[in-house]
Amino acid sequence: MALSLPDLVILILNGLFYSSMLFLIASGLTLIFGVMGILNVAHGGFYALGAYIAISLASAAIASGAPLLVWFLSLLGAALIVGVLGLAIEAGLLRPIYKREESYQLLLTFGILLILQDIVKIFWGLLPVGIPQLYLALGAIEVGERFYPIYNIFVILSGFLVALALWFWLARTTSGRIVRAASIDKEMTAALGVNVRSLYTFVFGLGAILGGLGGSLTIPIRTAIPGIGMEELILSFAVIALGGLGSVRGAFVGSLLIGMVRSVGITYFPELELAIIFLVLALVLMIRPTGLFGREDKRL
Amino acid sequence: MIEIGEKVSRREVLRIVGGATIGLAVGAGAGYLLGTTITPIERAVTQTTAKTTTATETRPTPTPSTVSQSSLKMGVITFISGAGAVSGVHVKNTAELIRDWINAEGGILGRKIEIATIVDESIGPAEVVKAARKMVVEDKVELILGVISSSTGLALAPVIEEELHVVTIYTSSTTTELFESVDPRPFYVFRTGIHAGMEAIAGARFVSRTLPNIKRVAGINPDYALGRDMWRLFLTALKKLRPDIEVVHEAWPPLGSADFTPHISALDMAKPDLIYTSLWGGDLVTFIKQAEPVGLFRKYQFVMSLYGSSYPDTDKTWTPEGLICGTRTYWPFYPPRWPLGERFFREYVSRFGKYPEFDAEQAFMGIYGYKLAIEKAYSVLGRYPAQEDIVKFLEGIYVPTPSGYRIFRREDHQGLGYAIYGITKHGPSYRFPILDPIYVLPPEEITPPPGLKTMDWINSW
Repeated sequence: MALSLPDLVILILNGLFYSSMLFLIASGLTLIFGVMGILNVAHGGFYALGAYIAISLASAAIASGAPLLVWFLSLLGAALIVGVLGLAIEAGLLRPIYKREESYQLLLTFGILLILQDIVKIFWGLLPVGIPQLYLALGAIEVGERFYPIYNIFVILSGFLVALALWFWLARTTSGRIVRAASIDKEMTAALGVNVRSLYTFVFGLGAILGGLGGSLTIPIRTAIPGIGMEELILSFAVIALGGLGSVRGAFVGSLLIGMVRSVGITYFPELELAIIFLVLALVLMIRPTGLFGREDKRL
Repeated sequence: MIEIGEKVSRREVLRIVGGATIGLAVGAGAGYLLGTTITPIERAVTQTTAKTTTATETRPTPTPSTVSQSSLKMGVITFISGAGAVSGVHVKNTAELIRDWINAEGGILGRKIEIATIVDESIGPAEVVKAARKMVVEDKVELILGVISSSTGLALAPVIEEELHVVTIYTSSTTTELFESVDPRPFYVFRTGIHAGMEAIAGARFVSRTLPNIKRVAGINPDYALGRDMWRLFLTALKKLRPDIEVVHEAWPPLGSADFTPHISALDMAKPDLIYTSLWGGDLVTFIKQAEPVGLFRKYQFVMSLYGSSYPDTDKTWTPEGLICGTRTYWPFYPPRWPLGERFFREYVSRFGKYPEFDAEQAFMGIYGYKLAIEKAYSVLGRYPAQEDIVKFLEGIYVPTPSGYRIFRREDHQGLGYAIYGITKHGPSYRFPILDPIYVLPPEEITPPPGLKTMDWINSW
């Protein structure tokens, strides 16, 4: 297939859209793993809850005749609610088992995932639901003779914004520096007077917000069904393995890479959609087993 | 934890055993409680048993004293969660509605029907097979109804034929491979829904008659048994009718895909004249939502063979007019409904708050055909029929359904019927687009003769 300029632009935009979605989930995952050493399988549940709560909030906003801005704020609101849930889960369920082996933590987060999935089924039912009004309201822009939904561009920009904010926070602020320190050496950080317990709760809550944001931002262009979030979770594992466990920069590069590979793959090799992603992952891991930006001490 | 080689103290053993017991008890209790919860949405729309005052095609059933009055247990296999639930819910609803219809009129030879279990197909073919075994062996079901997914249908059929020996009526699972490869001389297995070949051929005939200028054809189909089947058959049939068409792109998103946008872009880049899709249920809904803002429907003619499975969940705001859509053998809005169809439509809508789609009609034919077969068998044999007898009376029986009279073909247990294709149009009465005009393709034009594979039949044209 010959690639005209508009086609190339759309190809890139499609890749960036999927990358943004992956980054939102993967950044939360990698942050939690980097700081707390927990591989949070429940993240798929945060994504799902973010999506469903967003649907409820946005539907209420739409039904009550609120202006467009409120619709979009409800997406953010959904993510924050998931964050609060994350705080509660960490304090209530995870904290008691930090002393145990890692396999317990994995099992527990998996159990939390199953519970969250069932909560979704109980409160929102089993049939697909969605809020297409949000992306319909924004319309599409012309790219040559093709169209691209403006809502997708909004998601791409949001992804970049979150990446920027995360980088700035971790690199330039005191609290970010403390979090990075805790991820490198927990005992030393505690010895320096930092309340590591609260820090853990905070990081887990932040990770949950990011996972929930991934769900809430992408749901207007999709349909929410029970089990949503699992495919994205697995791909996020691939992203953080590729980028290096614990590295937010790695999550950024990894999600960019995988999003673009998927976009190109589907266009030219439509039947290899999933295979091509894991082929790239295998290739990278063969060359650099810790991932692109990973550290030796953070291997699983 | 305990290390190997360490001596285990009595306290350790008690702690572990006690913990495990408490864990099991809590788990079992929670599982039981959760299993009896129904979702708030279902609670809101479920109403009490349907009334049976309007005239229908049913006759009051005899209650012979020679027949045991034990309840007749039925097992239902359908999608209850996920994208497939958009279709699956109609099978479940119809099973409940028709059970109540039949029980209100005295049951089957006096025996009341009971839905012993509903299995969620989304657990996958292997798990459904296990559940089917349990249904037959433990719950003692005498009828298995349902199965939408072709993969599940292919996996289950051999087990039914060789091991379980219970009348099993598939409502969907429409891959031609079922009665052409995997189960070519079916005994216990029947299928009510017209199969992928009939639908694909109907679509190809429709296109060749109404769109003279089609040259470049693209397809986007779910990457599993049914999607592969329908695309292959549609293409072969269309090529026979219009030899100069060429395929410019094939997209194969996995079943249950969340993001179709790269596939949509690839289709756009290929610049076809016609795009064919056998996406169904929730997948089709997501696809339409994602293709609409990109302008795909404004530029290319679409043929959606399985639109009928998703129509109640589409919306005029994002589902355009002009789509060529297939809806198997059931479109309740046109032509005017006959008395049975009218009664079914009214009661379905008022009880479930949803408009029925073709999976409902297909489930109806299954249960109602089963009842008629048993009654006929009793009148001939003078006793309650065994499974093997019911099979013989199901073959060739005429079943009145909401879409008219349908029949189970004797040779391959395939349900026969017409195929409906129509063009979407926005009307004032419904939230979703209706199909107007409607084209009905009769069985003779779309059904391969018994014993001949669909592909061979097409190649012989």
